[in-house]
Amino acid sequence: MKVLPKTLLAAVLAVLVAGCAGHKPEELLGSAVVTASIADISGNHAIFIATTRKRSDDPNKVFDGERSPLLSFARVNITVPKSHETGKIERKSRGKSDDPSKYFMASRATGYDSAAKFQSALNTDIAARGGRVMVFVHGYNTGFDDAVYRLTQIVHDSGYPGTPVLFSWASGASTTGYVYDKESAAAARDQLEATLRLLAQSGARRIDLVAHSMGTWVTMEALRQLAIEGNRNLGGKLGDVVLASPDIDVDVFKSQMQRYGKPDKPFIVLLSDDDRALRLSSMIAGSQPRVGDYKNAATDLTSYGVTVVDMSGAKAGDRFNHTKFADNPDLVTLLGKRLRQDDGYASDREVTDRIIQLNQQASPGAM
Amino acid sequence: MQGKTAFIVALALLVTGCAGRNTHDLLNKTAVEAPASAIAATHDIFVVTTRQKATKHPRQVFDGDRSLTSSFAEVEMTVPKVHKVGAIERARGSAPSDPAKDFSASRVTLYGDAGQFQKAVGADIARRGDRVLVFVHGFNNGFDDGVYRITQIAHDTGYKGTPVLFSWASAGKITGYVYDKESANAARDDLEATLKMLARTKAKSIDIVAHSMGTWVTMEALRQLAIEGNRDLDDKLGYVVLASPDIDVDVFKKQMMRYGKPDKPFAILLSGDDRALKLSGFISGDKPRVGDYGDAADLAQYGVVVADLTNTKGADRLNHAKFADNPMLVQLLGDQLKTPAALATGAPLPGQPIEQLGNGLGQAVGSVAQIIITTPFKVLSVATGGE
Repeated sequence: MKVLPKTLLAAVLAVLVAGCAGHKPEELLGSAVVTASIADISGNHAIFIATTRKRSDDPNKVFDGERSPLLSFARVNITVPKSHETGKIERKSRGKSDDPSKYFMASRATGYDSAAKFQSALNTDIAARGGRVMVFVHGYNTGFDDAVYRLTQIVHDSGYPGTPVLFSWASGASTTGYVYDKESAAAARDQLEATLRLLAQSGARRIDLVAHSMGTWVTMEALRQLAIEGNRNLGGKLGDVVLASPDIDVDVFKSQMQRYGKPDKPFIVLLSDDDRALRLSSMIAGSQPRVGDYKNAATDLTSYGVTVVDMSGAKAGDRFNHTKFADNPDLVTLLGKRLRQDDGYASDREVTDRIIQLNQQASPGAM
Repeated sequence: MQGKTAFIVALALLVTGCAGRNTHDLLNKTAVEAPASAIAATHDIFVVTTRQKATKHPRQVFDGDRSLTSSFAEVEMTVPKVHKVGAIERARGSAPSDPAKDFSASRVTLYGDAGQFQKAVGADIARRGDRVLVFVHGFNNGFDDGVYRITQIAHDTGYKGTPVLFSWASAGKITGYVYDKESANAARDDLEATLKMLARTKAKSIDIVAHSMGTWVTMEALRQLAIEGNRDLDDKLGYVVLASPDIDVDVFKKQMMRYGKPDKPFAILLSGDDRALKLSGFISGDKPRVGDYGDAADLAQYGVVVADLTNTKGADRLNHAKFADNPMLVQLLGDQLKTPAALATGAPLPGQPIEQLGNGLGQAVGSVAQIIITTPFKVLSVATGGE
């Protein structure tokens, strides 16, 4: 977290001017300048972004749900209000003013017109933060704004010290767009791989991956093709791989893991058998289990080199139980601990012990 | 048979899952004899499958469940004399196949492992020359459907090489779209392994014909071969024919970008009136699929040749399998496959110079249909007899 400037320009700049029309959903940037006292802001996070979304016609949305064949690069600064509660994303509701003392607010958006410029900005940030990067890959039915806010919340609540990078693929952000999203995810695989390679060349010494829902599919695909190329560890820089509520068919996941091979450091799979979102995916996929709500995961998946953390006993922030890793205050704190503690190349054994510990702490009693 | 009785019968059909023609049985309960004079030909179909061995309905041989490992088999199929080009004569419902009237499986051999299979398929390839045709079926196909289709293709095209069916675990249900897509994903490595295995035999040319969702599995396997640096299968890759591809256009472009421009352009057969793909397009957010995409030139720039079959007729209302069920088109495919890809000129639907394409066929029939062919360089309209 950066130290906030003295007289905080928590001026929420509408970087690209908004029209006078009422706020549409999925807006990232506000339309009015509202200043807030530094005392009301608890954090200001610079989120680096690589995205396969198209630039939006609505400048406040920045990027929309349409696909672009090319990667775009950006950085967005988001402030978190003092009143923020761990696990929550305080978002402005329609018609309310853009008040950074109450809401997560974007204070600045910068676009980079080339990968080189993006990389140079990244390098500086990574070097300043000790050489660590976390890539977050969001899930299905997620707008660009949703993803930026979610990563901000994860970084904030987990206290992650490194550089946060959002990989945002072109989710159409509608619940009816399941197959559209799946195709967007497939179209984004090479770009996620390219982003990981770019980060590996950025001076980062360690790259952590946190993926959620359908984002775990894009992530597993990118890792799989890196493995096919013979570079599955990103030149030794791959850190933790956290797959939260994976929306991947169990058979497909097994085939991916088989191709990847047993990871040197087990991937961490967070799942919950009360996940209602995955129940739906599973139903439309022919009543086959998804990894994120697979009841036999602990016995059936660990042989592939993953550590399964069952979050079934933990409470979620909503009825879907699909985002517990981030919206349960204790779990997101534990995720942070996990990512901070193991800053080296621990043996499998140590990692496993720690995860089992984490698992125990996440049990119902602790919630 | 009104009222209550009919209801019970309907329910029974639902429960047993054998509604109408969809028993998916490949084998007869008891052998049905037919005089040799009633048989037009026997075809040995080699099979690699990611399906589970059928235990509930053993006569299906393999069912719609997925296996984590490949199984290997050989099916001997007979085609009746009464067969009409483009058609698959099948017994109705649960009636046994009569080899004098229907396509029939006369023998199924299961191989214990990949090694035994490779030996057998290798021997067959060597015996027939040096060519092999891999067929990858589409969505909503039972194991039987794939076997019947490749038999019909091998028969009607007069393909001289060894036919190999790659059968992934399609549930064979119209409601199983996403299940099938996941099965297709789970089968990518197995198809790749199959192609590599065939490249280790004496085969000099490995042709691939894929249909519908099978084109997705195929493109994925080719893509990962490219990532490994072996996109041409050690120079053994022959024709790649993608019929009615059920692939999102954006995704296909990305796959082609990763594969790179093929040395020999892939052939894409599409049709603007494909009703099956209209459905896929609809459920994937109203985005075009390659197989009913209107902008051929947009695809051609990636190194593919597009044959637009919109003006030819399909055998059913879906217009989704014209490449095989339109008698003229399947023979045209046979003409093109005749010359090994390595010897073919750079013609779009490779094999012959484009101007000659369909000449003989065109003369044979009265009504003339147009196939519009778009290559990376030019657009041609070819008259064929295919109606």
